[in-house]
Amino acid sequence: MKLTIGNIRITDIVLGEQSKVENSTLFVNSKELEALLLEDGNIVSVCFDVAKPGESTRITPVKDVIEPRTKVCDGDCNCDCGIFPGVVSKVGTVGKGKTHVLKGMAVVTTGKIVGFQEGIIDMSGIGAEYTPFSQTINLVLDFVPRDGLAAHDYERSLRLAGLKAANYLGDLAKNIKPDEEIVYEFLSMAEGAKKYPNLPRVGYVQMLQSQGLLHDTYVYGVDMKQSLTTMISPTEVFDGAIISGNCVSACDKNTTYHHQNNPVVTDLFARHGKDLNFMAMIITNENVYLADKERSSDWTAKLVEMLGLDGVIISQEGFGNPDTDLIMNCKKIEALGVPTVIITDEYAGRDGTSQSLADVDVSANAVVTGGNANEVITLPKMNKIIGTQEYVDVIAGGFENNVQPDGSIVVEIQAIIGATNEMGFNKMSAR
Amino acid sequence: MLKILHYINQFYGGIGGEEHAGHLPEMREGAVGPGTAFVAAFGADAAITHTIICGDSYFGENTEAAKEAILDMVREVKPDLFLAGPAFNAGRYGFACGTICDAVKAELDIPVLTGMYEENPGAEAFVDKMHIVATRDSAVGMRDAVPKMAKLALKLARGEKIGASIEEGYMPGYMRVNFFEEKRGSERAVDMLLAKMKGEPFVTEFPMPDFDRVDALPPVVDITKAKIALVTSGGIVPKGNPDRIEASSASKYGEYDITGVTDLTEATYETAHGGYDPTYANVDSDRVLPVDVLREMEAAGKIGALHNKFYTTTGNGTAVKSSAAFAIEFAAKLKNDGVDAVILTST
Amino acid sequence: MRRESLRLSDRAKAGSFVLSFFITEMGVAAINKLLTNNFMAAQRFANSLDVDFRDLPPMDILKAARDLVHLGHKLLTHPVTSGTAPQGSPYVSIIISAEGATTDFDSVSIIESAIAVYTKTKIIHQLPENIAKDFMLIDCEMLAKDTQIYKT
Repeated sequence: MKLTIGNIRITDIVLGEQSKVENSTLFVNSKELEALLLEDGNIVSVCFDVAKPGESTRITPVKDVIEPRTKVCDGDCNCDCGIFPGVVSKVGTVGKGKTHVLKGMAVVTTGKIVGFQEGIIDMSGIGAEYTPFSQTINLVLDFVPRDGLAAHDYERSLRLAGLKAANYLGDLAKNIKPDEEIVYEFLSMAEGAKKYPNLPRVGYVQMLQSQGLLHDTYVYGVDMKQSLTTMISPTEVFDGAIISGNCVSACDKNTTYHHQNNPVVTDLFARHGKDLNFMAMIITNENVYLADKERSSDWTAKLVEMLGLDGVIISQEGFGNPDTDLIMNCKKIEALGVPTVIITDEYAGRDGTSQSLADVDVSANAVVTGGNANEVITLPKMNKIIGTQEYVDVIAGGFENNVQPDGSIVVEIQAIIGATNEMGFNKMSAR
Repeated sequence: MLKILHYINQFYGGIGGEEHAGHLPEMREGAVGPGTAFVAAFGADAAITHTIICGDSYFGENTEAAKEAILDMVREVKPDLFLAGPAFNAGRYGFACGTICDAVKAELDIPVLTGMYEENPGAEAFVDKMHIVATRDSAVGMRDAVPKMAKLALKLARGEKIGASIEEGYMPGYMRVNFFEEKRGSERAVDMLLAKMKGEPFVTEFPMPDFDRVDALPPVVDITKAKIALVTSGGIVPKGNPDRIEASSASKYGEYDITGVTDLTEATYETAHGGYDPTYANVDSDRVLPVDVLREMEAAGKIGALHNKFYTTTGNGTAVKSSAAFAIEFAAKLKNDGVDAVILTST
Repeated sequence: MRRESLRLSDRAKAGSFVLSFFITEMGVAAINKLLTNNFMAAQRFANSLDVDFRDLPPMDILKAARDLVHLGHKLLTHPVTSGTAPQGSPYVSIIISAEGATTDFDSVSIIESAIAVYTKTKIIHQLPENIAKDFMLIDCEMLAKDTQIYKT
């Protein structure tokens, strides 16, 4: 599968009359976009805002972050498909042909689904150093649901609204000439093995959170908790094959943006054909039932064995009981004699002296960490709050009475979107 | 100017070597021995106002008493930081540095810092309880150790944020601290995997705790026919401790014949262990090594027999590596002697 | 008297065995236990699980689960919540097998590590009612997958 990613740099977002992309600026007709989003009767109103890097702005509670993309296949890939297949586009295999990306910006959705929901993006100050979304120009959509809407329904409406908005914006770039193009080619097993016979066959196992409301991930629209461990082409993730239904405990949940820009996939492609042969991407789930954990990790190891891989990177999502899935996957793959590297994060307590993981095993001898999520920082007061800071007090990573007299707030970095991402999106580590 | 109290052993205190290891804790004003190097490194930021000197054997054999005496001295001085060592690879000195730092930190809430070689048993015992700067294995490493320790000591004394272990030079295992790497996590993962696949060295960012789990053996088929042996890390030895098993950081184990012995009395047995109040074990060593009860069970036919030898050491600060080596040796003897099961007692 | 009651309980046991066997053939396991301090979960699963509701802090629920594990019951769900606040949700719900013949060591190790996690977790008990309710909901949702189809 060959996919060309065409990046169109966006350096400004302007709310205006006509939606278009012109000279690296995204113009958004908010009336038109609002009408599209309000087609969902569960949403009463939506407020649009733009947050730019360096501004004294805080966005919270963030539901999802999404990068606008669009398929521009010109009929040359014979695909009749769209971004987020099986969700907002019809079901159809993606990951081939050409995709245009509005680079440098993101759609950020906010909305309080449950009372203890966190998710902070600070556009400046110390908090900005911990989230990648302080570096993107964000079009923020702040929703108000209809009265009495159940949490499930609200979650689904918010999730879909963000994706719809991203596709609406992405489609504006169909006829724009990209600033740069990157080609990703993922060969069949047979071709790949033949092409690089002397390079180690490397696979990527991506664990997707799938435990229930606010802890779910969807693949082509399928709730991952209902799936057996399976395979996917890494190029598909660039086209939104995997989307996020996660948002609580924000630091180590993969937003849809993270999936669209999966750093393990990107970095394996970067070494593909040079130091390694990137042969397979396996996706597995993280369920609550122990029998599910056993079954899914059995399947992960079995696929690694069937594919004849020489080494595997395993990335986790979330913390707590997913540590058990991570260790099961690692142990079972190592038991096959296949070396693994796992990517996780830590909950070592505020002073860093507690046991970091809920499950450990000596076979996990190569670990990359996204850092200690319990580390405490003080976020300065921001001039502008998009969303509501009302619940910061009880957010994951928050303290009781954590608002200081000067308006600054004391939080664990756990409250910050993507701070300890376990796909290795960030530079942060811990020792 | 910050006030620092320095703890050193009799050797570095200039009192003498092994023959003076029983030296009682004493406190002197100002810096002594390695303290002078620290004074130079601290410059105008801090002063070593007092130095406590204590013999390593005294500390090991009278740990509780030594701790109390030293804590009283620390209470009197009220330093901003309690500095111990560096102990390099001296096992008992390392044990003393770790033990006293742990007590000062826990009981007086004063920041502490010590330094030692990574294989010092004191490091193994205390690495998860305090900042221990990694040093070389002998005093040759003093020159490297002092600036590192001095820098970290000042930060700790001032209550400043402590960086990650690789930035500050303390041993990993105590405190996990975030810092920013050059490369993002996914790239580090790819690098690590390539190294691991090639068999090249790599450094894991989170060393997994190794609990050294041992799989349980199948149960004893018939306990009434089984030959049972007693093994303890509680330090029970014949009165007078004939093999001089150390009170802490034991370097050996003892093998003693108990043929015909039905009761361990105050006159015949005692404990060599320096890590707990020995009164009750000394009055009746059966409390730690239950020879009396097993003799009764043997007589009543509840067990087949009590093996005529027991094996003993002190678990106090003894390195896991040493313990494992002892066990490998005497487990072979137990097997040779036809022992079916072992009761291990600890304290 | 004693003999009589023994016989009665034996009969009861035999009866439940037949029942559970029957249900298992249908693809449904014997009725598992739900140990919870979440009233919403207790209500929701009252018909599908043998609910043991205890109005106690999470640690007590975990310790009760540990006791059952040592008595031969097996953990069916992971006792550590995932991805909720580090203060931890004040609610814990654990599904445990009806009974078991021998101690399951995987369950022992999982419950022990769960207790270790909760030992370091600071839990806010005085939550506003609406937030407490949301925590209850999420706790329920974690178990919402058909609770009956899982065999031990």
